[in-house]
This record gives sequence, C-alpha cells and structure tokens, in this order.
Amino acid sequence: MDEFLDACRREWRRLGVPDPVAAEMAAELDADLDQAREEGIAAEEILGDGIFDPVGFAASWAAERGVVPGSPPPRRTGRRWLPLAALAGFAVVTLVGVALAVLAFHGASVVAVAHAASPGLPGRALHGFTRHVGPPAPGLRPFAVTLLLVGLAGMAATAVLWVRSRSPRLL
Amino acid sequence: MAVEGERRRPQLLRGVLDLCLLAIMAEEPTYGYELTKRLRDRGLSMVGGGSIYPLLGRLERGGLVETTRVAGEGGPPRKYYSPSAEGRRALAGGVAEWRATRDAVDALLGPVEVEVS
Repeated sequence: MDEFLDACRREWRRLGVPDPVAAEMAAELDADLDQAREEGIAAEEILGDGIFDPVGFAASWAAERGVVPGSPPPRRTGRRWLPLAALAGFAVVTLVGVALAVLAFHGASVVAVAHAASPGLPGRALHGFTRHVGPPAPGLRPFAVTLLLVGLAGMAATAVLWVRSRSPRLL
Repeated sequence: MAVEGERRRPQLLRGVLDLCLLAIMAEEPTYGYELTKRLRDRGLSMVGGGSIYPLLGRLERGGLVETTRVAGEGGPPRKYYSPSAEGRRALAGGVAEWRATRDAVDALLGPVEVEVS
C-alpha cells in the first residue's frame, strides 16, 4: 500500500495539488487503509477498481475535490501522437523493406517478391511495376525480408494497441 | 442477462450514492473508512467497483459537507465528515426525489409477474 500512496502523491504533485492538501488526502487514505488492514478488510473494499490505477484514482479524487489548479492536460494527451508516430515509423520501415526487397529480388522482378511471400498470389497483375536497374542482390534478401516483417508486425501491433487504448474504461 | 443485472445495480447505486453518504453522515459525523463499512453493513458494498473518496471530494467542494480533524485514539488524526446546512437541504430534496422515483418505478414494475421458462 505504500507504493499505492507514493503513486498518489506523485500524481498530486504532478497535477500541482497544493502540498498541504495533498498531505491531508494522503494522511486520510493512509489512516483508512491502516484501519482496514488491522480489521482484515481488503484494500479493494476501500479503493474499488482504483487499486489497480493509483494515478487515475488520485487524479479523479483531486479533480472532484477541485484542488487541481487550472486544467492541466491529462497525462495521455501529451502522448497521443505516440501511436501515430510509431505507426508512421513502422510504415517507413516497411517501405524501406519493400524497396530493398525489390532491389534484392530484381532480375526476377517484383512478382518474385510477392511469390516468395505468398506463392498463391496471382502474379500477372503485378507485372510492369518494376524495371530492371541492375543485377539482383541476394545478400540483401534476408535483411529486406526482416525489415518487411518487422515493419508489418509493428504496424499491426501498434494499431491493436492504439484501438485498445481508445476503448472506454469503467470508472 | 446475468451480466446486465450485475451492471444495473452499480448504476442504480451510483445515482443515489451521494444521498446515501449524506444520510450516514447525518446520523453522526463519520470518516471515510467508516462510511465504506456502514455502506457495506447495509448491503451497499459494491459501489460500482469505485471508491467513495472522489465523491466525498465532490461533496466537500460543493459545500455539502463540513470536515473536522479529530485526534485518533493512539492512531493518526481522522477527517470526519458531516452534512452542512446546505448538505442537509440537498439530502432532504434528494430523498423526496428518490421516494417519488421509487414510487413511480414501483407502480410500474411492482405488479409485473413474468414467467421465465
């Protein structure tokens, strides 16, 4: 519970809650949790779901009490660009992978890349997308395929995490 | 359907939880943990999986409660809550609203008898 209280204190400090008010809230909570522990009552009974989210709990309490000066942006807002940046980064990695793959497999044309990744893919439709610029570079193939896989997997993982983070949470 | 029922009860409680807290405080000044215990003793332990502290904060900000620090018996001082004059008026008004709502819902749902096969 000390960790929980410490997390609350940190959040109140971050939000700019005046020290005396933060100390009073921490003391109130500490005393209540101590008594609950002495009486064998689980902290969940006192804190509800908040026990799993000390930052949210502390922020909610301070906001409801009206002791947060101004309206500092929620912690998540500052990082809202992060998933988009990650998505863009992985997209760049994927594109570099594609470019390298075309270079590495050139000579067999880009259709060979598609066939290597998915042998069942109809190839004729992809003809004409590339032109020969030199001999194939087989040494590049593992690197190109690795970049492609990392890029695609990263984009997929980022998209999943982003969707999950935007799902509403119960209070 | 069982999940629906589990969700409805916390939602119903949430709408009157402030009144419940004010009612308990009106009996005698009480601190946070004691409020939680008394709610639980009256069968209202699951207040929506949440905590009463943010709600106490809202009541305090709204001037509906008064607080006093009382030295504990061998322990740290406790913060006691009691309804202010405005809080007592809010409680009276809220109880009247609750009764009217309860009666209207009772009139509709009370006679309902549904056979579930």
